[in-house]
Amino acid sequence: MVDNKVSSDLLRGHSDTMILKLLMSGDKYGYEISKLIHSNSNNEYELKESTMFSSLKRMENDENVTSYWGDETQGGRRKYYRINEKGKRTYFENKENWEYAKRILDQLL
Amino acid sequence: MNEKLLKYLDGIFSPYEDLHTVKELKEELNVDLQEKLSDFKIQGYDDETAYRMTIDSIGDISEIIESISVKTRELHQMVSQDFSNINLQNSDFKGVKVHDGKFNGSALKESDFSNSDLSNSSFKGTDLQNSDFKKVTLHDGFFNGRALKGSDFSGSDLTNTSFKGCDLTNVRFEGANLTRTKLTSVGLKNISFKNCVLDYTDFTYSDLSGVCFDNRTLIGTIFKGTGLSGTSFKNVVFRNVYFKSANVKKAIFDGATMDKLTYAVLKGGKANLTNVTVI
Repeated sequence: MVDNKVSSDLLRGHSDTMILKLLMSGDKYGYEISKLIHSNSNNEYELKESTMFSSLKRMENDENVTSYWGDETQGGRRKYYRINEKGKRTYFENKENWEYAKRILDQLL
Repeated sequence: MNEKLLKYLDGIFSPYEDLHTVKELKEELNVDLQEKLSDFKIQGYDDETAYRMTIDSIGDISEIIESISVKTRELHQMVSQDFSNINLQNSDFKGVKVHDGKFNGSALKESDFSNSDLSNSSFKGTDLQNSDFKKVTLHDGFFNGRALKGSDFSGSDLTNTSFKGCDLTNVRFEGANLTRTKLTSVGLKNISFKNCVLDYTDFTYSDLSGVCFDNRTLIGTIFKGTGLSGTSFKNVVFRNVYFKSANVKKAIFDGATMDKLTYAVLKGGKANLTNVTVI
């Protein structure tokens, strides 16, 4: 589990990109996203609901993703998120920026 | 459906309920968290622990509210809206119309309300430090007990608005219409009321030391129990002005004109009334 404040902040700064990556492989609802982030990080990182939703709402405003209500009959209805073309571009841009920053940091640290 | 979890969400979202987007968000969050809760139980956690873990995973709710928080354009023409308990620091409300708005308990520090119409709005418990209320219409507004330090109300219409017990340090009221405005129990030391309409303005128990009212006509203004040390009323015309229990000894009335009743009360308070004309 990431308990260190600095690394947690560093990771949180990339919430948008993490979510976009997951949406690249298909539409997902909120809890599905947070579960996948948890398991894909080998249970080391947990995205708080508030962080995830504020990231989703922001990306929806910026038209990186769109949302729609599912048609579940059992339990409550779920809201699904789909990545837009703009979102895909944002993902690749962010990923490229990160690779660049990582290369520099690896040289400097 | 775990009712306890739903109640918890009701609680944390209750200040924001009136916003449609927030209602939807709550529904979304509820479905997600209910599923998370039952997953924790499947993993073998007892009810109480599973509930605790679910609640702890929410994080800071204001983070989401901020990301969806009312955008200025949505605020235009809103009537009877409730903006209570929202963090709206540095917001731009220029020229908006919000009748009967409720801004109770919101943080509005350094917001710009210039030229807006906020008739009948209520700002109880709101943090409005350094806000700009220039030329605002605020009929019947309420600012009770608020920090308004450094706010600018110049040219605004504050008829019937109440500022009871507010911190008004360095506030600007120049050119404002203060008819029947209640500026009661507030510190107004050295504040300028230049070009203000002060008819029936209620200054009960406020400190008006050093304020200059020279050359004005004051009708029905209430100075009950006010501190008037060095306050200047030179050449003022007083009609039915009420000075009961005011500390008038150190006020300056040179060249003032007043009705008999006002004169009698001032005389009773041992004011210096040489050079005063009684009408």
